[in-house]
Amino acid sequence: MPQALRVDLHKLARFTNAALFALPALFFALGTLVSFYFHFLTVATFFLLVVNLFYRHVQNEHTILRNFGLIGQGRYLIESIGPEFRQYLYSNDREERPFNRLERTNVYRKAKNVESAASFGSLLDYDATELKLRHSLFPTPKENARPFRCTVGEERGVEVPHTLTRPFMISAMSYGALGDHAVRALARGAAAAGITMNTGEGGYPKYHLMEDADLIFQLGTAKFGVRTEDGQLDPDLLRKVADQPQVKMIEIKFSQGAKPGKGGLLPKEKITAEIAELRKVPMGEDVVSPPYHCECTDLAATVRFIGHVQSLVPIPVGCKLCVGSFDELRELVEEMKRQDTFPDWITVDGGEGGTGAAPRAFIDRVGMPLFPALHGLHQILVDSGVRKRLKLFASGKLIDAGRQCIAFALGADAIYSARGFMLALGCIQARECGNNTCPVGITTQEASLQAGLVIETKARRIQHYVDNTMHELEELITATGKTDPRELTIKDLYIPTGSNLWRMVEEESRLQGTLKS
Amino acid sequence: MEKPYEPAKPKPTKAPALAWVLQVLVACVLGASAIAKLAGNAESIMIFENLGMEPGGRYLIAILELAAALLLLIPFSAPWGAILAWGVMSGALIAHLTKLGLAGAMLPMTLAAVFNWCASTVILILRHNQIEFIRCMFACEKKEDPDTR
Repeated sequence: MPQALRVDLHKLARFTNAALFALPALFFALGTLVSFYFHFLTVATFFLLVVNLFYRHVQNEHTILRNFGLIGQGRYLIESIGPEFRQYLYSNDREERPFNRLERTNVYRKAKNVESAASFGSLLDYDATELKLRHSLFPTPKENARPFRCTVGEERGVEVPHTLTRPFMISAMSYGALGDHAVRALARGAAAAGITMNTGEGGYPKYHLMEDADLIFQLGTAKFGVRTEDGQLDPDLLRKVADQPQVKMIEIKFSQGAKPGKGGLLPKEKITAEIAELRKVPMGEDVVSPPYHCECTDLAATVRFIGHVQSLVPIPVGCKLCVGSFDELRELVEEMKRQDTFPDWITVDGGEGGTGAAPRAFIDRVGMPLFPALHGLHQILVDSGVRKRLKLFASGKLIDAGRQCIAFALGADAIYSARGFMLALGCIQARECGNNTCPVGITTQEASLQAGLVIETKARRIQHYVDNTMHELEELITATGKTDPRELTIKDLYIPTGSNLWRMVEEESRLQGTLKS
Repeated sequence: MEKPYEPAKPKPTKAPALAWVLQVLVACVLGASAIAKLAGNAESIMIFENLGMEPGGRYLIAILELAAALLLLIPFSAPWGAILAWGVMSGALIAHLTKLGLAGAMLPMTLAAVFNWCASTVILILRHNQIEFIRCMFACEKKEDPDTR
C-alpha cells in the first residue's frame, strides 16, 4: 500500500510544542523592530507557552495533556460535544437509546398536536423479534364503542374507591428528581386531560397540590413526608396526606425497574433547601433511600404491611414492584391468599424503566423486562384463582399506543408512563437528569434552566399527548374488533420466535395455539 | 449527556480574602491608569508616541485595562479579568524594558506594572478552579501519605 499523507498527532504535538517556544521570540523581534502592535501576539503566545509547559511538566492527572501539550485539549473539547453531534448529525433514525428519533418524534408530534401520518412503509425490521397486534376482519362499529371505566378498590369494598376514566396515567417522578415547573406542568396537563398522576416518592406533594389533578401518593422505601425519626411509617402523617381531596390512592413502592433491589437516589447537586425541608434530609450529601421498607423483612411481614396501610386510610392502596423471580412472586401471592390481604393493584415496572439517577449496572442488568414479567405475573394470579381480586398496571417504555396494546394483551388494566410525558414536556434525551443541568428545565432545580419551561404551554402539550395517544389506542382497539383495551388477550398478539415472550408462551400448553395461528 | 469521563470535581471553595484584596487593588490601579489614558494625559500621549501607537493604541489599551478592572470586580469573571490584566501588564513591562526605559517618571509606572503583573498571577492561581483549562494546569493527584492510611 503506497505511503499516503497521514496525520501523526504525536509528531504534530512535537511540532506545536516547539513552535510555542519559537513564536513568542519571533513576535518579540517583530514588535521591537517593526511595530509595537506585534507585542499583543508576543504576550498571547507567551501565555500559551506557559500553559503548555504546565500541561506537559507540572500537572499529572491528564496523560493526553502531558504527552501532547496544548493540542491535547482538542480531544476533550471534541469528546464533550460528541453526544450532541451524534444525536443531531450522525445517528440514524432508529439508533438512539433508549428512545430512537422515530419514537421521540412521534411523541413530540402528538404533544404539539401535529398530524403524524407516515409514508412509504415501516422502518422496523419485521423479522423474528417484533410483537404485532392481530386485527380482526370486522372492526368494531362506532356505535359499539364504550367509554373506559376502571374502578380501583371495588374488589375490597374500599370506602372511597377511585375510577379511572382513561387507561393512561403519569408514572412516578418525584419533586426533587423534577423541578417544580415540570411538576406543575404535568399536574395541570393531567387535570386538563382527565388522567391520574403519581406523585413519586418526594415527600409531601406540595407542588402537585397546587394544581387540580387526581393524585396517587407514592410511599417509597424512605417514606419521605410520612416518616418517623427512625424511618418507620407515621400513621398520622399518612392520614394527613390521604385526607387531601386530590389524593385518590396510595402506592407502596417496593422497587422500580431501573434499580430493583436498590433504593431511590437523589444526587446532592439537586438538593435545594426546600427539598431538604420537604424530605427532612441534610443538604450536601446524596440522598439514598433504603433498598426495602424496614417493616417488610419477609413475605408475611410484607403482606401485613400492605394490610396495615390499607387499614389506615379509606382510599385504595396498591404497590409497585419490578419482577425478579416468579418463584418469589408465587410465594407472595400464596401469602396474600393466606392472609386474605391483597393490594388493590400491582404495578409491574419493567427492567427497561427509566430513572433520574441510578448506577449503570442496575439500569442495564437488573430486573426482568416488562412483557415477560407482566405476562408471568398475570398467569400466576390466574393460576392461583385471584386475578379478579386486584388490578394490574404496567410501566416501562410504554410511550405509544402500539406498545400499550401489547401490555393490555398481556394482562394490564391500565398503563403508566413517565418518560412519555417527559418527552411531551420537551425532553430531548440529553441524559443529563442526574447532573442538575437538564437543558430543557425538567429534571433540574436551577431557576435559570426552569425558566425555559413555561407551565401553561407545557400543560397543553401534556393534554394533547394524552388525547392523541388515547385516540390512537381507540383506533387500534377498534381494528381488533374489541370495545375495551382490557378485552385484549395474548391470543391477540402475533409472537415471533425471536421475542422473549415466545419461550414462555410455548411452554404453556393452553397458549401454544397462539403461536401456531 | 453522561460525561465520557468523570473529571475530579474539586470542592467549590470560596476564594480566599487575599484574592479579593488583590482584585480590588489591581482594579483600582488599572482603572486609574485607564482613565488617565482616555483623558489624554500628556505623559500618556508622550509614551504612546514613543511606542508608535498614538492615538489608536492608547484608546485600545485603555479599553482593555477598563475591561480587566471591571471583570476583576465580579466574582464570576475575576479569573478572566486576571488573565486580561496579566496580558496587558506583560505588554507594559515589555514596553518599559525595550523602549521606554526606567528613568525618572518611568520607574513608578514600571513598579506599578510589576505589582499588577504579580498580583494578577496570584489571583489566577488562587482562583484556578474556576476555569477548566487553568485548573488542568495544576491538576495533580494528591500523593497518599502511607502513614495516614
